[in-house]
Amino acid sequence: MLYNKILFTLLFVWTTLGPVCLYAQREIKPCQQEPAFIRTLGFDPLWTGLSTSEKKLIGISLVVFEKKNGETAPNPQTPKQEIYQHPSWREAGYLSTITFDRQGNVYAIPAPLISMLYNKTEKLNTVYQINANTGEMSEWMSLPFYGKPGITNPFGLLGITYDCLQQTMAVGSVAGSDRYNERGVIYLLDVESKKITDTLRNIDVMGLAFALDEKGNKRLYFGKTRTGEIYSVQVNSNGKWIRKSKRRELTLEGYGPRGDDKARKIKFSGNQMIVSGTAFNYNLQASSEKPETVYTFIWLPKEQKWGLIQYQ
Amino acid sequence: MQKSGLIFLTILLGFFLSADAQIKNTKNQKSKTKSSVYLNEYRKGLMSPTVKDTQSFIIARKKEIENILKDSLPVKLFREKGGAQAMLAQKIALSDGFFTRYLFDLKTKKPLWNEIFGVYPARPGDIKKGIKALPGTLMRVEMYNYANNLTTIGIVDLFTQKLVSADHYPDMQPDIPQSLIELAEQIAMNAPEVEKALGYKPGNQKPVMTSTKTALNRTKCERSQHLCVAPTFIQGNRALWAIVDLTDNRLVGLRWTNTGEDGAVVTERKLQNETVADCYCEKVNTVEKYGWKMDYLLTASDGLEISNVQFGNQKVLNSAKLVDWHVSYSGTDGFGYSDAVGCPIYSQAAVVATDPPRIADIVEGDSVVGFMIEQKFFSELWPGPCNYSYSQRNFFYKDGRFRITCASIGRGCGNNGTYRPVFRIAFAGNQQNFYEYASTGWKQWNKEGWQLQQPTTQYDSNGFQYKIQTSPSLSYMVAPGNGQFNDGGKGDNAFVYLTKNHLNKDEGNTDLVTIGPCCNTDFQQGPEKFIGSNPESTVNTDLVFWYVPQMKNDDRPGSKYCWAETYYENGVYKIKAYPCFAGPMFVPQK
Repeated sequence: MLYNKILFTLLFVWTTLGPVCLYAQREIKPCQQEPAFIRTLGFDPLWTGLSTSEKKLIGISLVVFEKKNGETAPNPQTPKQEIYQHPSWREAGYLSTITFDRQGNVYAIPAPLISMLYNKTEKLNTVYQINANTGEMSEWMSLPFYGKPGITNPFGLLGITYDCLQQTMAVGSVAGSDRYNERGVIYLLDVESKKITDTLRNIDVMGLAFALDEKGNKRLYFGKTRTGEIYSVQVNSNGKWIRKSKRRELTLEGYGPRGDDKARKIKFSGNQMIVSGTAFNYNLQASSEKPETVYTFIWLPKEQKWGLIQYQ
Repeated sequence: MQKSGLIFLTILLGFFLSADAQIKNTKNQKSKTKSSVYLNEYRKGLMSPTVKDTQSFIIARKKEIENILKDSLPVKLFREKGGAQAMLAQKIALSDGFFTRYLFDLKTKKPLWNEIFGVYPARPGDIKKGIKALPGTLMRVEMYNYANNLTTIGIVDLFTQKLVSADHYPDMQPDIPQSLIELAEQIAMNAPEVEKALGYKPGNQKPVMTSTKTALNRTKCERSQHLCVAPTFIQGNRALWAIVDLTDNRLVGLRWTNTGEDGAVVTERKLQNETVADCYCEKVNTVEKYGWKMDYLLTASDGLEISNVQFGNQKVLNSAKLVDWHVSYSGTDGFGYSDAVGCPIYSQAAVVATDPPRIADIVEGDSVVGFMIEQKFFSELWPGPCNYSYSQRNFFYKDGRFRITCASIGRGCGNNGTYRPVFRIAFAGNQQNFYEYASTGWKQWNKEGWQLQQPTTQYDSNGFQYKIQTSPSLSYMVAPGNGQFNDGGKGDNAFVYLTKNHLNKDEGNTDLVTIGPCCNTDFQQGPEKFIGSNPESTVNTDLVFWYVPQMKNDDRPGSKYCWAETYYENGVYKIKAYPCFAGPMFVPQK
């Protein structure tokens, strides 16, 4: 399936909580709220989506979809009626992944697209926030660099996810990594105090998701950018890693039409792990030319492993 | 000025290592044993003739394909197992219009190359809800379409003699039949590269994976979207993967792995990327030929850079490289891209090198007059819309002339695009002077500046617009493209910039990040930044010559330019390129 370049997150089309199976790895119930500014602007939150991949637009935009009779929410084929951009939404240059918190604040991370012209290197480890009420975007938190982005790796932050159980956020950066040195970091952040609670060093990741493991423990699942493997590590109630609990969950190697996909996005639905895989080679090839495949894995309690049930 | 005449390029080396090239030194690398070899040129034959097949089994395979394409249904039937039942199942499937939907090109109705890979009793999971049949009467027919890289799976009822369901799966490939396994093995076992890697000719020793007891390993040809398998040879605790392309019937490349490695899959793209990175991004190579000597390196974002160029004992260039490609589309303000070209992995390139540089002879008439070094760059889905391909070609002649060129090979986001590549060419010598031709003779540029080649531009009687004096005894005359080079170029319409080369600060000597935006249509293409508001003296000093040609694309029949499209040949789709080459010729004058 060709990757639709529109990397938009439809607000409020949250996957409902599937049946909670005992002894299954499973999702954490979503808690995010709609940003109030959407209604203030006069739009219906159900018929809008935030996008970082609108052709010809830098930054983040709010896509307003045409309402259709008989439909309760837009789908990927729904025509766009209007695109709104607050002036501040362009200031960080090109952005990639978006996540939301329980107050309706929106978080986005920068990532250069095709060239470095619109993204400042020193801001590639900065998380941006759109205030839920004012709709204004500003720098939310600049994370320390453990290595600088450079000519052989133009990226900093690549993954971000919000934990609804504890108001924790996980952010992954590959800044400073090169072909022979994996210098990436996963930061665990306390959203309220804006403090780093823990870091996991020397690991390059992109897709991130919090979920519960087969024993009910909260884990961060992360897709590696070098191998196509997905690992997980337990997070305790103090927002710290339980390092010994780190384990390999599965790999995308050899699967799908390409065989060398990396996990760009991970989400859970009930006891299924849904992984969007695409090529990633630490270069600035346009995402529009990268086909994306969605892999669905299911937790097999007897075998204590993930089984691929489909990809498309 | 001497015309270059019709240029025939004799491919000396399509492989990863030139016979003339030596590894000069390494940079940024740890000691690493080279374990992968990428052999075949990506999209071979795109801009040069393809090599003729000589192996009998490949000739036979191609003949078979040719004959089947003449049949009313261009499908090779599966005859290996299942007897009469399997034949009946195929006939039933092939008599159904939905199952055969993609046997022919949907527009042109030309036959596409299809093969039924297997016929099996249907499994419970194959039978969709609502389908009722007598026990044991349902059969599953798997067909592969090579042109579209598409699998069609049909379920037929032998009792009612009807197709009960069918599905088409793009980008999917079924398990291959024994005949194709044997063909892949033959291609691998007869490849000289496999023999060289193993140290012996495999002969009767068939490839086998001891762990899986199967001769074939999983692999993918992600870039070509072809059907690929990997016969694997075990040697001690190592395994040699030979990736074979069964759409083109060729060996793609080789890779050693340890047999104990878990889950590591060797694919076409990995082989290509690692070979190019190992041998050309992290190593400076040297070519010495016909009096010329130079280093070359694939950069992270400035294309192929040649450096320390000398002819005989004379230093000619410090370096020449392709900094950026600016692509703008008229009709849509500010829409376009600034593409950097360079290494396929760990780089800032948006369009990447998938093949090694190629060194080829330039033949005019019946004589070899020089050589060319070429690097091509591709987007993954080229020539699909909004995907790009570029070529860099540097020509060096036995008489001391040289030409720095590049081309867009389409296809881009529309037929209203203008390409503006940015060349940075630094001549050797710190007593340089620069002149332009005027009606009164050669006029020196005393300060940094820029100029646009226009219809009113004046040239001397030999077609030269500029003269770069690199020493008191040597100058290079500069002829911009005016359609005279017989490479399809229609004229450069180039911006030229002259800047002082500061030895104490970097103005593009090392890899440059994107130098300018996509869509400026005037002189603001990037090099003007190094001129600034107070242009410096350009008399008797080190200089940099920047050259930004402008090529407008065209998709009209008969005048296609900076364009590429697919066409039909022998049951599969191939690519036709219409490159728009541009770049100046430099002619020595003593």
